Amino acid sequence: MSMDVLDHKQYRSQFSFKSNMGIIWSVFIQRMTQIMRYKGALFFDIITPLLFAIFPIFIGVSAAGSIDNASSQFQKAVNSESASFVLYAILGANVFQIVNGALFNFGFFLRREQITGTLESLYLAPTNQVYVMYGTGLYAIVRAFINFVISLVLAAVLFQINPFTNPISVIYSLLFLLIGMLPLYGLAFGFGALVVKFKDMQSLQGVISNLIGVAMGIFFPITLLPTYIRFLSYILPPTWQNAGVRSILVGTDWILGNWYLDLAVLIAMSLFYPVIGSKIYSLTDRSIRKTQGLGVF
Amino acid sequence: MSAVIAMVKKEGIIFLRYPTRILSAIIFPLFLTLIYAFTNDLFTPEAITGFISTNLFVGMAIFLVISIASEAPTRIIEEQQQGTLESIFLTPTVRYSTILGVLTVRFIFMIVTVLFYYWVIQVSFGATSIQHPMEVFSLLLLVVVQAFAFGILMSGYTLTAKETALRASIFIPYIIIIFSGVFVPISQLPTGWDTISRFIPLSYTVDAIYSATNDPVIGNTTIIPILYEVVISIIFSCLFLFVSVRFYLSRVRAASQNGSLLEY
Repeated sequence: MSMDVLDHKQYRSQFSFKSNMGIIWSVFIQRMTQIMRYKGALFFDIITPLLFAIFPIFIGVSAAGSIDNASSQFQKAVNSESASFVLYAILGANVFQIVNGALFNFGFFLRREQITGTLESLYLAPTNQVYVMYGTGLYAIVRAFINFVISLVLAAVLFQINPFTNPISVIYSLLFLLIGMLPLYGLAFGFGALVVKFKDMQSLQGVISNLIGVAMGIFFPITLLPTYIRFLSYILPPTWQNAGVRSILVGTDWILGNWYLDLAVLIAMSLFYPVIGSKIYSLTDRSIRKTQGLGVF
Repeated sequence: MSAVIAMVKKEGIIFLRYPTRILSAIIFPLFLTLIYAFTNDLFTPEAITGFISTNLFVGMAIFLVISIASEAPTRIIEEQQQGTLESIFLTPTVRYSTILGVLTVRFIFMIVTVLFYYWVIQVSFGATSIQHPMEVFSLLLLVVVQAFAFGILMSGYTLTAKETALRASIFIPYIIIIFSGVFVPISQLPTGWDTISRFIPLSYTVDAIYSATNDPVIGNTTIIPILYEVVISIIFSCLFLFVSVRFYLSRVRAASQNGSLLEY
């Protein structure tokens, strides 16, 4: 083992918990500062889920003949007499946007550093890269939450629905989303490995996020999906986030019948998805650094 | 011209270099189709056949044509990040050759994808029946011109607005798709929304395409008589392309002067 590698490891071991938290905070601030330059991008992030949601609402009205028919057909399909299909679609679109954001923010960060040739330099910094990634994750989670709340407020105004009848439910749904963020970002770590390996971030994101969108039941219950797709649905964290948020705010069924069972699945996913995701990323990253270099595109 | 062809070749090679790009171009419409089918299934449990199957195919073809427009701003940003955009502008070729290269390659691949999905929809959802295929194809070419024009326009905007323009280039087509009746007929939009459709020129092209698709004798349009729709579509397509190119060139000049060709 060469001297410079040893020195590098020595530097890393000198970092205390506080300094590691400092790295996460610095990356978070840096990413926030960067995105604040693009006010339009922030606006589009908030408005996009509403736009996505319009699509199924119109399809519903068009297919059922009228908004009343669509509503009753939907309530029959989800087995709930008071469920609003507008809110159902908006929540689905919002969770989908969170998935998109998780993949995009990780992928875009890695790909941009790769293209600008700074990813390899970043790895030379005497710090553990995992904390840099955590900083990016924190940034993406904060943005996702802000977007989710603003988007719901806008939806309430534009579509004349009220998801805030019970503020406690909103807090519960946010907590459910938050717990689901851990396995989701574990998944995003794995996605980061794909970006480093296959380079083309946008196409990868397009394929994977749309696949997750269909599997998690973006605008429809997963019970409509064929069995072989449903198997994929069950192993994806967004499916449980989506179903949980909908059960709390719309009144649809929990996947396993009870909130604590669905929550238990999410917690179980939180334990192993981040570990598996980080491991996959570290292994891919190490192999790429050995064979071709991270700066190659 | 040979410089533009060289750029098309270059973009073709780059496109084929990334298998994920090809995979994405093929798979993306499948997800769209699945989302459409399952959402439709939620409201009408009966199987999708006949009329809906035809509309799904035509809607998807128009959607794909429009969505290729966002590829151009993406490429501009890539070149900006790599710091090679300024070098490209120093080569003796037209300033929009990179964009034309990207759009042309994506357009060629899109034709293959559309034909593939024509077959997929036929097999999965029942036979599609397009009454006047040549007319539909000609009108779709007008949508292609409008998509190219939009791509060029947004690329110009990207040169100075960067990230915001990239998001806008993905976002705006969705609005246009909703209001121009690509998947849901304008007549079924909420009251007042159809007024907005009348100000979106693509609505007239889409309406004419659906007329040529479903009507045994073309003319069963919902907005205005088909002749006017075709005239509006042709005039708008040419005008939009002209304005977009002028706008793009003016943005190139502005970005060259303020140095934002390299900044990101």
